[in-house]
Amino acid sequence: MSIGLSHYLFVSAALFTIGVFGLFVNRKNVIVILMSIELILLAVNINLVAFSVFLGDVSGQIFAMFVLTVAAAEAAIGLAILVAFFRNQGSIAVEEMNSLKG
Amino acid sequence: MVDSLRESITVVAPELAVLGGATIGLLGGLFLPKRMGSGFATFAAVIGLILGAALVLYHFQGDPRAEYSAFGGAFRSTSFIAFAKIVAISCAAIVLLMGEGHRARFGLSGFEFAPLIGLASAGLMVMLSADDLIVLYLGVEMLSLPSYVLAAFARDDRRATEAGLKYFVLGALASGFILYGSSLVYGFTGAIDFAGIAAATYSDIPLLFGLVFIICGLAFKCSAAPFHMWTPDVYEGAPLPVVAFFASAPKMAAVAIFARVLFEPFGPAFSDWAGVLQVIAAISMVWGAIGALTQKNIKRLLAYSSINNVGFALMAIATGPALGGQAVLLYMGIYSLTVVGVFAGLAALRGPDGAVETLDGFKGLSKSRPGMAIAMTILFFSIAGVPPLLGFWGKLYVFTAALEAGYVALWAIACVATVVAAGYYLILIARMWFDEPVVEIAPRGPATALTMDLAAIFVLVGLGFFGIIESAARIAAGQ
Repeated sequence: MSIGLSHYLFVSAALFTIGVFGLFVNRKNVIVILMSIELILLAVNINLVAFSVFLGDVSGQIFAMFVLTVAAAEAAIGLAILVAFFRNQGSIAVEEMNSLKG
Repeated sequence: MVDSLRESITVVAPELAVLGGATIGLLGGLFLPKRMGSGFATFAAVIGLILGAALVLYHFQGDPRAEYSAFGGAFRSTSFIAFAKIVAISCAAIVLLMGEGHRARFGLSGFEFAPLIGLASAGLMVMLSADDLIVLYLGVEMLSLPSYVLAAFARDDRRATEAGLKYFVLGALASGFILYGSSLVYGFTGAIDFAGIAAATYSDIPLLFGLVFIICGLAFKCSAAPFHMWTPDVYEGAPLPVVAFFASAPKMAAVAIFARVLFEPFGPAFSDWAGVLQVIAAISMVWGAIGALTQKNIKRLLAYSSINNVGFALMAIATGPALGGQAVLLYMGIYSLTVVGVFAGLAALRGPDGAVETLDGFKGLSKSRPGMAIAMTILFFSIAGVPPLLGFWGKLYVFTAALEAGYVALWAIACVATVVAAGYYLILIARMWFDEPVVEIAPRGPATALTMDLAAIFVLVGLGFFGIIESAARIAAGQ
């Protein structure tokens, strides 16, 4: 059995789903949420590179490079906000993010 | 589509001006003495924004139907885009000017505030001009990343940092949705540019799957229900001038790029997305109207009001480019400029312990600050859509478009939602005029109050300008 496009798509869809569920189901730690976001972006990268190879078109790989770059910037900003939050709150537990409610 | 680098740079000149203003402001803030730095940063960012708007106007002064393409078809400028850009960066400039001088009250004393708004504005301009999926994603992120920082800018305030974190997590998820959708669209059309996607066939189920992901992501970004859950929290937690920005410029841009993505690359799939958009529009209008009724905090109330208003704009998008193109520009343009005035009014109100944030703070405003109460009343009436104020005409165009498209059920829902939404604006106005004051209001801040008065005059005498605005939107929509 050779590995075809659909295998890559399946792995990426699974990773994407795990990432989305990690965001919503996880009730403990904001770091896990950041990891889930990373997982979502990497799932997209697998998709893009797989499509790019199977289409014989390089623009998907260029897209993947941009996604990697933005993911780094996003992680930096996310961690910075997380540090500011921790200084005020003294904890990064998800259930303690509750001062805004209505 | 042969374009030299020089031509491309001419096309992106407005973006470069805004970016340059923000960067110079950032450098000035860093290296100038502290007292001067903050003022210089704001000055440079505002000059950049004004220059950007002037350059956009200059591109379209001779021929309003001109179309510019740059960087091998990755970047595009049409009058539709230009209209949205001008409204959005005007809002950003007004927010900067009105906040200057008393930002410290909101915990925004750092000079980075103005450059961040400038960078976010440059990002939204790039997003608006996107002509392929990569630039679309980069534009969305260039807008979002400074916005996350802005939401958490008051970094000693627990609520602001919490708002920033929530905004970041849900915004990143929305970007992930747009990206995953983009990757599927790329895979099943083999094209990354909008024209190539439009030329592809639309029978593919996976392709529609990608389209749905992109719609979900963009709906997140313009806070349409059921993807609105971040909006009330971010509005409540973030500092007021930041919320004034979020409610106006990025919203205008997000709705306009939503319209562009659906009209241009996915135009041939109109019958597939029109239904989805109708559902999102209906839920937003109803949920935005009902959710606001129980709110005690004015910022949360305005968050639900913005969800409600985005619903009307999406209803215009759902009617397609021919009917809804003009209506969506007109509606969002009027709404954005009005809402900046409302927030300027809120920023000018000062209770004994900081900004007035509860609805009770408005009680008896007509007795303590009659002029302000009149201006706020005019602004709220305009958002509610009371004729002959400007907001009414925006609503009229949207409703007409919906009827012409034959969306009678959606039209009826919109009517009910308008009435319910008018209810809570009226409750606010009643508190201002018929209750006794419970909160002592400090003297009004000059710049913010001036902005609000100007906005009130704008919606009041806007009828005079309405012909100009209307024809601008019509030309922009290519009719």
